[in-house]
Amino acid sequence: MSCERSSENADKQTGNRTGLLSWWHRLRCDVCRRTFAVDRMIERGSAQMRATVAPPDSLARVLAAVGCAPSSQFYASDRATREALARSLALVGIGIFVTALATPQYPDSALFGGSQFTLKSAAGAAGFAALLGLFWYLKPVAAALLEGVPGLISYRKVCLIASAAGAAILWMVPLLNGHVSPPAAIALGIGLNAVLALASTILGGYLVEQAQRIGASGRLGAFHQAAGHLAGMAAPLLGFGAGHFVAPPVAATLLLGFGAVAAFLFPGSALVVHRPEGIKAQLTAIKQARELWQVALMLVLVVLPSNFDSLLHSQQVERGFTDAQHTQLNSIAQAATLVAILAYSVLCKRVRLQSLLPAGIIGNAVGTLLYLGYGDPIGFPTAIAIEILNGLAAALIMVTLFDLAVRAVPRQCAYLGYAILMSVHNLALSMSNVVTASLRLPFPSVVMLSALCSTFALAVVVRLPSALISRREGEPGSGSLPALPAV
Amino acid sequence: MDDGEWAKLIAAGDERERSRFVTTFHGQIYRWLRYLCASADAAQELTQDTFVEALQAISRFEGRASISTWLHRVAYYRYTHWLRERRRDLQWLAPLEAADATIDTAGGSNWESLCLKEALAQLSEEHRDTFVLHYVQQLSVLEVAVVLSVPAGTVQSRLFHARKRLRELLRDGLDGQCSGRSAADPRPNDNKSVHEVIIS
Repeated sequence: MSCERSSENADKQTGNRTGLLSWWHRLRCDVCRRTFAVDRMIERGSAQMRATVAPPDSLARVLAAVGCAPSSQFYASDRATREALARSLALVGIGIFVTALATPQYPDSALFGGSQFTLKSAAGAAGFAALLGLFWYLKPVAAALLEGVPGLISYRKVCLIASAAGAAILWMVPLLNGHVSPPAAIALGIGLNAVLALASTILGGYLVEQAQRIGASGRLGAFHQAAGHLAGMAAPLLGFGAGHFVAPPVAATLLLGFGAVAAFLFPGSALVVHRPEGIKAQLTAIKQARELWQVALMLVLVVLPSNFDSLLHSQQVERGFTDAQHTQLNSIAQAATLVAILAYSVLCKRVRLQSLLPAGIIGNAVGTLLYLGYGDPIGFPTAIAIEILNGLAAALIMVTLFDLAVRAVPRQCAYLGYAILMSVHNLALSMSNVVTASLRLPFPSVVMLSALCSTFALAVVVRLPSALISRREGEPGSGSLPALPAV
Repeated sequence: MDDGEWAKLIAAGDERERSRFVTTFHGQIYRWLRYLCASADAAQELTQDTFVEALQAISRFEGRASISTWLHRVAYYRYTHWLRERRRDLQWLAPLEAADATIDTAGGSNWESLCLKEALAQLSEEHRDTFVLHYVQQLSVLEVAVVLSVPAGTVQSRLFHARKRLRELLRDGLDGQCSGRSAADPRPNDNKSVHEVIIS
């Protein structure tokens, strides 16, 4: 019994099975289905074998044999880990905070403060915001450029500093010109997003490298999220709100400051990443990394139905909330999000992802359903309660998904793999806003549809490899589950 | 700090760096030796020997490969030496071989890993070692080639044949012949019967 399309007969590497046609063929072909099952067994078996740990006293015995004090294992491992974690947290935290703050978003950015930018319809506003963030969906291109140009990846630090400096210069243009026309503001916004997306790609890849090395995917992922939300809270206070022209000098100063921090903290060019595999091998490995695509699917399933900001804003206006109240509600939601993220950085060491993921998905759906309260006239205190509860629930699932994303990126593909996942997340977030704003449905129906669709992610959770989700943070075997690389 | 600079610090006797070196690679080397030897005691002994020898020889590290690859090479050298001695001894102690040479269950008793180990035990030694270095230890083809002192093309060929053979063996496993699972029960179980599989 044989099949011409079987990856074995085609003399191909395991895992040649991600295409839709292959999937369709496999549904009908017993040989290919069995080959697929065997390949999966090899992948999972290898991952489980990687989880082998040495006996507790083994390291102390080896240290004694080589003449090191037995206690030095704690000194060496804990201190090195603490140092690496502190450096990573500082760099990623400051970097994400500054890039998130400096990212021009519609309608909340100083760049788009004029009345000529006021878009009446929710769908129009969502569409404009999605167009503005174009380069945030193209992060894999930046990562492929970094990995594809020989030697460029060794100069990540230079690229990061150049991005920060470039963004600082672009932010100063409105100040130097005095006035910015709408087309120039749009061009500036897109340009700023391009350089900041590059900086964010480098920071994301660095985060994954460090998280997989020191086994801190939960804490670093949570910090990544927290820094972004902190920037959201700080933006109005630092004058980044629409119409405030304090923003350009503040943004430029912060970006240049971040460049200086990166120059000091980011590993230098001497620390060349060992990359025997080129971009082609990385693409092949990523193509075969089943768990990475599963996480991407989960991101789509959770994020795509959950963002109806533009529609909610319209609903809040309809219910008589002022702009000031809208800003307050946003800040309260951000604060609740921060609390959930901080809680997660503790929770991830105690609870496994296999429990956190279903709980987070169900919690997120319930949190979304709370917006049904906007179907009737609603008081400001009730709106605050909804923002707090939904903020907690939504943040818990997002931070859990970010943890999962860091774990799912194959080793040696940190930049490309994470960039793909983040682009999927960004695109889903924007599209979600556009789609929900364009639906010709009453607000309560959109809310119910959103809650229902987000629970579809539960179907993916049960199919995730146990080696990926059965560990708590810090337990042995931390790191990624790479697909079988090309041979 | 690149691997060359790190090796110099270790060779200079910096205790902190020596500790860091051992702490960083101990788990990885132990895991590999544990698999190769199929004995926790032998793996512990060889891990110890590997690090002692590596620290003595680290001044000769030239930085042509990564320090991890170099350490795997040292470990493999220690293992082949141990294996030669053991085979010589076993000529006189043949009855002990069957009792000793079992597949251990390090890495958990998950169904997939048990079936994979059972199948790996039926591969030739060189195919098995190449497969484990690449897929379990996650070394690249070039790194495996350095560790085993063979051309990269040979590693590719071995991986291809190892995978092909594993597919054949594991397909039988899917039909219920793998000891980790019964034909009637499609779900993984915790049956430990595979503990006693003898390396052929």
